[in-house]
Amino acid sequence: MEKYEEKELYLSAEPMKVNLGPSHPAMHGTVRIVVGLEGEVIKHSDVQVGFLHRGFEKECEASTWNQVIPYTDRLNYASPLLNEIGYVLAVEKLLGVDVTRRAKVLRVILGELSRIMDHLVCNAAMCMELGAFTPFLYLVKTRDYIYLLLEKITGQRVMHSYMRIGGLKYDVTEGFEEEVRALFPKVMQCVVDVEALLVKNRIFIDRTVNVGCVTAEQALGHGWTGPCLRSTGVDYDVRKAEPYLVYGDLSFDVPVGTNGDNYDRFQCRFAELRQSIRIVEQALAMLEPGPVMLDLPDMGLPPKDEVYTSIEGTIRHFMIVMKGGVVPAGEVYMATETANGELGYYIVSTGGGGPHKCRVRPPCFANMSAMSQMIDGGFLADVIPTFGSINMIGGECDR
Amino acid sequence: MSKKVVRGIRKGFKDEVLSDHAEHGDFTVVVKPGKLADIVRYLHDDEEMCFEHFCDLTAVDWPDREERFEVVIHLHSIRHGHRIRIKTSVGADDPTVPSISGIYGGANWFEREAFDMYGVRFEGHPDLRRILLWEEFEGHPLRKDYPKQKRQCPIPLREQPPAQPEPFPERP
Amino acid sequence: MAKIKINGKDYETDGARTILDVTRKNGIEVPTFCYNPELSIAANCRMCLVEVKGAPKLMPACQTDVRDGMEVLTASPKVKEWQAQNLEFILLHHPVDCPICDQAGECQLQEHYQKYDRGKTRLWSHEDKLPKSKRKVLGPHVIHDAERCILCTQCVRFCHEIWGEHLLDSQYRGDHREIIVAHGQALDFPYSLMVVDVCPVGAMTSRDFRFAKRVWMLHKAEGFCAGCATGCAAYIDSDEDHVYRLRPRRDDAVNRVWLCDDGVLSGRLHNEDRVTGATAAGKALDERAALREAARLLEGARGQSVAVLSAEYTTEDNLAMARFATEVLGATDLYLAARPDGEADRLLRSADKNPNRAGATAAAGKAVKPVSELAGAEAGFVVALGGIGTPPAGAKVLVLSARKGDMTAAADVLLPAPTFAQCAGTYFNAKGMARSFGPAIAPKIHEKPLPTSVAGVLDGICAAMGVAHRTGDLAPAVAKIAASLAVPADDASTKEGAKP
Repeated sequence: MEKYEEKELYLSAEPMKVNLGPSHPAMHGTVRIVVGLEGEVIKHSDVQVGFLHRGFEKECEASTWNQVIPYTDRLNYASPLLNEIGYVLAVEKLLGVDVTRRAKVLRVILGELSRIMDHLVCNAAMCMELGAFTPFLYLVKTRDYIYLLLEKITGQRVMHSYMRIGGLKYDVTEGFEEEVRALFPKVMQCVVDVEALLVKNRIFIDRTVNVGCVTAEQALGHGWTGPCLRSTGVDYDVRKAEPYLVYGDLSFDVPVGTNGDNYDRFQCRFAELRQSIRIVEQALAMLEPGPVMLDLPDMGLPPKDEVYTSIEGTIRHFMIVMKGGVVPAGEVYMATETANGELGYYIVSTGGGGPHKCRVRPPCFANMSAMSQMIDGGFLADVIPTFGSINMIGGECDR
Repeated sequence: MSKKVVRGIRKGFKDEVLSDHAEHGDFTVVVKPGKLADIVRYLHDDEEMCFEHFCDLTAVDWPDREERFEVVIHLHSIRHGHRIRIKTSVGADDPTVPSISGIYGGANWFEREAFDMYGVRFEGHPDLRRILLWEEFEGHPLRKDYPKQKRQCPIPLREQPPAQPEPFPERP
Repeated sequence: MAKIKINGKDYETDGARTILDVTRKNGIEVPTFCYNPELSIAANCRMCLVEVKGAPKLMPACQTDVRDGMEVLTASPKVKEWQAQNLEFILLHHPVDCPICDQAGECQLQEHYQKYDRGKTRLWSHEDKLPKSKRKVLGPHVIHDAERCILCTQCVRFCHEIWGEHLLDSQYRGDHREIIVAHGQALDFPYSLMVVDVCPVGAMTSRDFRFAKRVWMLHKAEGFCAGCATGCAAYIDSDEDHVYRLRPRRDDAVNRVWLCDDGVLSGRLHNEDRVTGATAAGKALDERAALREAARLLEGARGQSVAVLSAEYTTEDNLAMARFATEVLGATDLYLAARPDGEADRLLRSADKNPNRAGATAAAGKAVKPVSELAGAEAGFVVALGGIGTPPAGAKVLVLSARKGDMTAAADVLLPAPTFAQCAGTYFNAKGMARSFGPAIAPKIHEKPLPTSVAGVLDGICAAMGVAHRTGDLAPAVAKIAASLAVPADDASTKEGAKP
């Protein structure tokens, strides 16, 4: 056999430009990644977001305080209630009101259920894009159990619009606690099944371990939060660092990774999901009967029976709907931990019927901003699991 | 406590600080735009401050003010557990502030977004182009004088309804 | 000069008569329902009661004369308690009508409740509310809902004091009291819609505006009524290219706070018989093609044409037309089209039903002939502003008009002009006062920009004709007309109609 020199074996390739997206079968969410390839290796990349930009902030500035709530549902549409909670907490901070205990506990329970949904669907999408279709079906089916419960409580399957400034739209349905408890075995069974299929799977490990690595320092500088940040080993969770609602009274752990790679992010999400179940179990025990809505004459809509039968209720309803309520002038930043990380609302009020500025600090916008660095120098095929593990949600990233 | 941060900025940049407040517990420092990057560098590097975590950067439009655009930066220190909000204002004629994307990599995209939405320019930004909107977009939509109903379509709207597709030929 | 103390602060009365005069002048909030500065004091709504030191009971601010050293509290706990109680009392029999009430959104009852009461009713059930007539026809324009009425009697006082006839009255007592048409009368007079305007709640409804639009969706612009030569200041309320109503706007020199029925309903000058698009020989064209057609029509028109100005249009529009006609077409004869005269009365209405006869005549710069003489004129070409008049037989006719008429029917090329609600410009009313205004309805943002002025259309025609003429800046010419028509300053105060 002839001997070839090492140099001759190397096939030099012209740099090639490849467009991934905006519509790509292995990319959930509309995002476009322009990669410059040399062979199979990415030499440089340009991540372009904004395909789902709907002018969230512009709409908010033209809306009244209560009208913003349905818009927030459409940010991270995989866990809408967490976005609503962030918004109403920000406005409540501006108003200086504290909601009732029952409303707080219910917000925690429903928020954590949303977080479970989000983690389920993120991991589902990630493994499906790696070819693992069975876990995807398992996980998405399990998410649907939670959807059914939320639909029963809020009246809407996906876009709930259930939080109100000052509490909740109305109390939960009867038998709520049992139904929530009945979810846990289903969720846990599914997670165990999926882990059995994936965690020691050679193909899965090859494509996730040591792929898309990020160091803690890089992650912090890019403003990473949530499971992505924690996978790099930074122990930061807004629920622990700055407890809101009743998180201060609950005991739960903050799972952290070590490597900051795709595998750690995947594992972090499942570990957090287990903690969420722990939280919900404790919160259910704290649930006591009581009102769920404060009486805010300038902001909260009166109960419907009052609106329909008394002129006082009708007038109040009309004044709030037409003029938008009264929030004192000022500015506020409220951070909450959503499934993707720290969701911050920076709201500026000039005392009018709606926000002068309603800025959302989207966690996955910050996460996505490091995408380019994560994929440069890697293989083209690694873009898919890396993108999947970031959990870019178009509605939140592009607003 | 964030009070310490406010004191630190006031001490190090005496002439730059215009005012500070702690509305709703959010510590805020209003500074002149000139040395914004130096202040942020100090907050990032100093041991006492240690704002290693970039949080948010945005702008607010105040059409009635002389210095119309307010750039608002939120920073967070995980180690010390404190937050700070830095605000600075620039006029509409030449809305330029120093970029902080050299200090926090994450500010890169946030500054691009503020430029996209408000037209505020960040001096020293490596790649200041639109991010959420397309390159050909005219104007900056989050300015208060941009009408909400205005449409800009990269592909013009069809004036006529599309022609009906021809029916499938019948099976013989 | 008396000095009084309100809420611990000293105020000069400055010749004010009552406590309410002082508070209004100094921006201190005192809620009222029945008070109207143009009418006599009734003090029957009891909403403006304030605490006066030394007086055993609360005193009505609207009726209590100020005296030196008086100490008044407008927001003491006692006053606040009274305000809430009074509102609960007023609302006791008020129907649950906001969803179907035209006033919702500009209703004083809603505003005062949200600000001063916010309590709940102690009535057992809404079925205990006293039923009254929901639809009482008072006159051709006004329908009364007796359940909503809070009996402030502003409407009664308006008819009696401003119009001078005792047309309305009230009957029964207590809860059962309601507003009726006085015996042997009907609410049929040229200002009947003003009772709707003065009504602080939704009891008096305009037959025209009833159930037509929710008021918070209206775009409210300041403008002037274009219905007659008086030139009353008005708000023009519109939505989606439809003018729903005009409301009087305060102008002490002309209309105080009143407007006649024709004025309130003059939105129909915009809504009805509109020329909505360009046509040539009856065929619809797009704007650019129409300008080309107009240029082609005017070939050879120089020296053979006459122009028609219009008293319906602004001075700017007429100036542009006059310049175009004389400089481009060499027209020597200018005609003035105008709506025919109508009724006049002692309050506001003028017999001349055109908003700008003075301005249009001055814009011509020379004597104008009435448009009725146009049919007999010898001219090959007619260029007309507005739809009034009949062109001579055989002439080629170019018309710029907002509304249809005989002239637009005879037009060879017809181009749309902005209506009174769409245009910006200046009217000169019968007294020669300049009434400048901006467009009340902006062209839609994503529509192709309509011609917002006659000058713009005429410049487009000039460009299509290849003529260098452009209208140019009209402001100096308007200012010159304003100076020539100006009323001497001392005359302005004693003008008839200043105090109707």
